[in-house]
Amino acid sequence: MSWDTFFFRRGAATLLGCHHAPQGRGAPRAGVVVVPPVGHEYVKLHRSLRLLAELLAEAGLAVLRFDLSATGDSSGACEEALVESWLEDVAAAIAELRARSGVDRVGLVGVRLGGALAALAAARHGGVGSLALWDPVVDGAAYLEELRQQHAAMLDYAHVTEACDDERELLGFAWGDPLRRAIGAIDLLGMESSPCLRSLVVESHPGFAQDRLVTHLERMRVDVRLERLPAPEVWRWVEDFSRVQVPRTILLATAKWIGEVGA
Amino acid sequence: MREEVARFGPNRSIVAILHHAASGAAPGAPAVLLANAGIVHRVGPHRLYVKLARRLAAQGHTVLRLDVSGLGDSPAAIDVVPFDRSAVADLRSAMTFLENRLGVSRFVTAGICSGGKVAFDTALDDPRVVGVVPINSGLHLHSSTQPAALAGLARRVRARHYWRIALFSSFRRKSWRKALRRQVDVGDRASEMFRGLFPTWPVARGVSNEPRRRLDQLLQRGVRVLHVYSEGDEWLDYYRICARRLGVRNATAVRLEIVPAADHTFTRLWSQERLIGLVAEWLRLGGDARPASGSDSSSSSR
Repeated sequence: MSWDTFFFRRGAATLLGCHHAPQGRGAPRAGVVVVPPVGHEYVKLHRSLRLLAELLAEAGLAVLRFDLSATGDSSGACEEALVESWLEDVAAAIAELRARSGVDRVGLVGVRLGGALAALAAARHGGVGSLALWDPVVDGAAYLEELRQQHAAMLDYAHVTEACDDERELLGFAWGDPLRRAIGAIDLLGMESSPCLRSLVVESHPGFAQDRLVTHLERMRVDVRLERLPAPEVWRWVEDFSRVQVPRTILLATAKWIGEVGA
Repeated sequence: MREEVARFGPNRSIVAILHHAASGAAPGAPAVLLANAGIVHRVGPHRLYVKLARRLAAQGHTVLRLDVSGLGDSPAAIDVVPFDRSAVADLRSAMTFLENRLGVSRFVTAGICSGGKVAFDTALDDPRVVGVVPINSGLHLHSSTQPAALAGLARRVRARHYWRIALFSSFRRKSWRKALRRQVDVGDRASEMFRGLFPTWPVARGVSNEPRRRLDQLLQRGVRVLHVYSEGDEWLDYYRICARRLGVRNATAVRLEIVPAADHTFTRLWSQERLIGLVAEWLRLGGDARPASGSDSSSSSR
């Protein structure tokens, strides 16, 4: 199993991409772009996303993992991140995968905030057949509140100074004002155009109940499958980075669904 | 500043990000290699390695952030070499790559947590390394050939850590509050603290000369060492135990900096800035920065 790692451009931004060529002979059936979460969640889920990409490639799909601008290896400082730029990043990643692999049909897999970005970008740009959403952020304001609570719990517990006079600071990352405002305005239940033809929604924790999103997608005539797959709380901040948590059940279910329905 | 993906090593399997030095900033400056912090991929905890690499590149250093075999985007090595050896081999491959590609011949290796041990072991193994920066690293002053003695040492380190945090650290109030709220296993902690008062004999004997020997090996080659520890990190107690027993004093060649009120992965933004500033300044001065006063030069302000 191998993949190609490179930088590609989106305007002035430089984004890191990893292209997993499909296994087997012949032209790839279709392609999948993996839209990652951000902040500490991305650092913790990097390995899982690589394994997911490998599973999708084994299923004969061309896959592109990438880092959103101002995250991971991509250009930009954390505090410069913008939701608008991230939505354009998703579109640029789809174009990059098409150019690299020659596929026409491209589906999206989005995780947590990456799920919200995948859905919003798909609704904006169209042309996405399959959309797999793993614990997607449906309500941006609630997501920010959840991060603030985790941050407060970290300040209370970890060996750090407790005083926090910097609103931008959340769990080791700087979140600029424009970014927080834009995330706070995210509401997937307010999507007016359909993002895709079919969707898999994975809910790993009751705290991320996805019933309302499923209903909303169904109203937009999306063929939706909801999977409740309990998994370790990989999104939680922990000081100890030495344990790997890979929610394999979710990875397998996602790869199986896309393998069956196509991109 | 220019950044590119680099691939090298067996079958070009090692993936890294190469940060080119800002032109003309510091001709002849050593290149810096950043080894993975624990299992975190090459961006480092809180993307700290990216920030550090960009700062150092702006200062005139070529910087390579790599995923050693089996971590991040570098596949596991297919031979049977243990991780710590294969990681050192990967850093050595990185040096050869930069030597061939850019003509750099002097290197500084650095890393947080286990990355610091990889950096230190690489410095011991390869004469091209002129400086090493272990950050919140533990057991790097020992080779892993004496597991029984090291287990005893680890117990003593933990006990010293708990005593220090409870009585002398910036976190002492928080620590007692956590105990009262039963957020920690009080019985277990107390047992560790009292057992640590009576170190087992192998701890005193078995590993006593090894840190001195390993450090001397570097110093004889003129390698400069900057240890950076967070006040809240357990491995600071490891370093203190080793340094006291062996008479390792803070000096030009072996320097200690402590970031007060910081945790193992530098979660707070100001502590990240503090760490980056310390490393950048040490490199700017060519590793020759002298401690401000006394035997330890601890950072005293945010």
